[in-house]
Amino acid sequence: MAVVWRTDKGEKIYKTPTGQPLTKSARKLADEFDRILSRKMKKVIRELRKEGFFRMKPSLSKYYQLGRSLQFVKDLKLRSKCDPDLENIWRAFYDYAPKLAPRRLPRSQARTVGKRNFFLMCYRLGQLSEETAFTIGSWSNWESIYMVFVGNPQSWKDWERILRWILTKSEFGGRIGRDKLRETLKPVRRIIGKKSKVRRDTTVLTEKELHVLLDSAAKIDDQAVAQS
Amino acid sequence: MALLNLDAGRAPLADWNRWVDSLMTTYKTELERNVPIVRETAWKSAWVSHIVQKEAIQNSSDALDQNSSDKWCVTFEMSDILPPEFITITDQGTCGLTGRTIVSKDELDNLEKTDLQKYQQERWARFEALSFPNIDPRGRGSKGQGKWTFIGASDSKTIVYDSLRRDGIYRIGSWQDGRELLQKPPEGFFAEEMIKKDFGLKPLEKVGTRIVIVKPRKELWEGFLPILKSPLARYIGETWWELLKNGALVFIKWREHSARVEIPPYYIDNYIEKNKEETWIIKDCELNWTKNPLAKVKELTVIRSKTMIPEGFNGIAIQRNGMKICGFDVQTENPTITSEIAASIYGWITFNEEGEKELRAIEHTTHYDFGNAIGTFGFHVFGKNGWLIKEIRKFAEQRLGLGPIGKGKSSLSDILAINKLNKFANRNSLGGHGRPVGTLHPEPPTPKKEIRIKMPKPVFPHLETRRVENEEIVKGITISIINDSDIQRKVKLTLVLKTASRKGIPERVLKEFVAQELCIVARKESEVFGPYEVLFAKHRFKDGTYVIEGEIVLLEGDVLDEKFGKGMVLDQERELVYLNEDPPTGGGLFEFIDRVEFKDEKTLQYRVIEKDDKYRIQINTLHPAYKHIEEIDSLLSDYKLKTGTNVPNPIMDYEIGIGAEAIAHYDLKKEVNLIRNEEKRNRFIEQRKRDEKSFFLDAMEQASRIAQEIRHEIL
Repeated sequence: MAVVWRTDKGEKIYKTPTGQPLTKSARKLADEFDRILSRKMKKVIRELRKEGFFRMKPSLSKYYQLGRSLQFVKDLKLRSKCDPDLENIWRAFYDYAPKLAPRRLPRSQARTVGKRNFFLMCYRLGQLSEETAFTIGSWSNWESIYMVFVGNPQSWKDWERILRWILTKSEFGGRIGRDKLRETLKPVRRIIGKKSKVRRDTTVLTEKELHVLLDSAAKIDDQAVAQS
Repeated sequence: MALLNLDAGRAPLADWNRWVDSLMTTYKTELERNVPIVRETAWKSAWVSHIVQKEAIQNSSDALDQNSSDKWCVTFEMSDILPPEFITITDQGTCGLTGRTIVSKDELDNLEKTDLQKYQQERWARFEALSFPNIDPRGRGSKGQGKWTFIGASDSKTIVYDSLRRDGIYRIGSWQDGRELLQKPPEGFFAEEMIKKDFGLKPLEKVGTRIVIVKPRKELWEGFLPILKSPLARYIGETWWELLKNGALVFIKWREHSARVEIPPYYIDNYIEKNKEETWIIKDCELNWTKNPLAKVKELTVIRSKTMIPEGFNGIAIQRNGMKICGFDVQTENPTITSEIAASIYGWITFNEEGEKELRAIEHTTHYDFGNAIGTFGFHVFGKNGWLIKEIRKFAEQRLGLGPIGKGKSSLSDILAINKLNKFANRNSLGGHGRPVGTLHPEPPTPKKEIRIKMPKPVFPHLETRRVENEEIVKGITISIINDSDIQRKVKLTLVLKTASRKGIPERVLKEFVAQELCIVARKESEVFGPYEVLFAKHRFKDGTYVIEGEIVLLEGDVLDEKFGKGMVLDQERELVYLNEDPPTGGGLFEFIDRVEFKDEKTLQYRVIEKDDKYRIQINTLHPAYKHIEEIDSLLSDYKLKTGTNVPNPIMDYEIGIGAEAIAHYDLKKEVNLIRNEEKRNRFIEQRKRDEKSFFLDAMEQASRIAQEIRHEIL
């Protein structure tokens, strides 16, 4: 159970999930997975090039396109053996296709996969429908939304419904306003976040009930703003 | 003593059939304990065939005639119709059952003492006798009881045996259902006619012996089928692979089919070459066994294969004179080797002539195990921290990269000891680490939730820990809901097994036991769901931490109600399971206990190392006090294994003793929380302040050091 990462000098690092020892068979499997990923990513690059990915300016639609292409990882047989929790694979993409990312691998992610890994964010974005993704509007909006969910892994269970509410509430003049979005995310954090006073499972709520809950949290925020 | 002057010599009543049955039960117990290949479900019913093949080939190979022109060969054959009338075991290339038919006990006893060659020649008499062993130190059989297993393998407790000798004498004998031996075993023509008439068998044409097991037990003849892939062939391959590799011939026959027993592939050089991932080979190695310094290991081969090795061939085969006695589990005292890795490790260990002599002395009469009591050769080689364990540990560290080199072994007792010590330190607010489990300033107990989960701790395979190994089962998982409120509630109850959460990585549900909507009546408990169990099968679960989680979510109420609103998680219970890994030690003053060899300071029992405000206790495994404790622990473990009862854990007690001393030193240096009397405590702190050069603390440490050195010298 390991994924191959590479250092600046190109040396291989075998990254296992936290606390797991590296065995020789895991290393061999990781090497095989490394070869497969490398081949797959070359194919992804070729296809993206055809679609004009490299001519596009950095934008949400560009990275949505990348996210769609990365969806293959969830069906890779060997992935379930080498990285069952989709934990270490994202850092490895910087080794196979650094040009797909807008920036070089941040130093903070050289040794451990951060929550803000660019490829992981693209992958999550690629899971959305085209319509939802484009409603988000910009990459920075997506970053803000993504961070709410990634901070509370439990919330991924119901993230698409919550996201729909966020987008509806943040819409202003036909687009998602940056400030409006920031305001909308606050009550979401309060409802599903770690600091929430009570623990909730929103999946048992109907769409209407979920909206009532989130609306009420938003209302409290509005009142606080009005008072101040 | 007057009684000794009375005439004696009246033989006791003996029920041979019962005696043989009891012997077979002993064999069966040993077999189940030591021969995993017999545990394979499909072949469980053929266990007698394992015993019979081992004893038969052993007897035959001991009678091997080096001067014979015939190649040594053993044939197992079953009569045509099922259930078979008889099974024969025939050998050739041996000297047959030589010697006289009737030899008195006194004469045999006398020969054993005076003329070993003649004693060995009396094979017929010894075969028919009870407990007249083969005294050849190189002999595979050694206790003279193997033939009784042939009788035990017959439903009618009847065997017939015929033998052709080099001098042309052909003789037949039998043991008939407890009626004991023939008064005068027939020879020549009469013998030939009898074997033809009774069994339709041809008299032997080549020098050798044949055993006919009449009305064989089902557990014997089922070992022959299917004839071309029989359990019997697999058992022979597993036991006698070394002889087979040296060209020995063994056949299994039934009706027109004849199958030659093949060497199991795992021992064929080409297979090893192709499939080995890592090997560890030691040849001609001294064992430093003081009672016989000439005893050596001829060869130890440990192989990590690329593929899984079936359970019967797993581990290290302990060989004596070409025969596998039993297997040695590579996980013994090597916790870094997980079950998953162990499943692909196998190998063998062989000894030189002197080593085999030592082994023979400690071998069980059944030839399925060795005694390894303290002070024996078995303990020295296979026992706790013995030669073999150390070699396997080196293999794991140096070839498989398991466990940091230089770090000592740690086991469950270390974890238990450290948890108990940390618990004490936390309770007394020492070190300021970990969760306070205090009694000094106890927090008020949290009131019970009105609606709550009742989930008793599941039954873990090992009583003291949440660690499980592959193929072990966590049982008794049950869940119910208690509603102590006055209102009926509609809830959703879930009980799942999932991966434990790690930073930013969502948990993955692996198994859903319960997902039900329930109405819990006021002041009542719901029905109990379960018991469920989880088998941590090797192919399904990777090593790591898993959670059994029960949760109740309210399904009614105002979503805005923060106490009983819809969607509220009313209660949650979690049980952690650690698969092939040790549970973390509880947070606290001590990080871990490590058992290492103090090469420089052999006289010290332990030392405490401070690192990042945490303490690590290192225990010297070379100190005689530790060695004594280890021996007691080994004795108790054996006792526990045999009796299944709970026994004390001396190593843990030893570690707690050392930890207690370390805590006392720590406390006197720092917090002084353990001097309970306020006045004495203040006085001590005052005095400590005045002791600018820390004289008293140094003196205390010196005293402890001296005491450890004294123990080293005295013990």
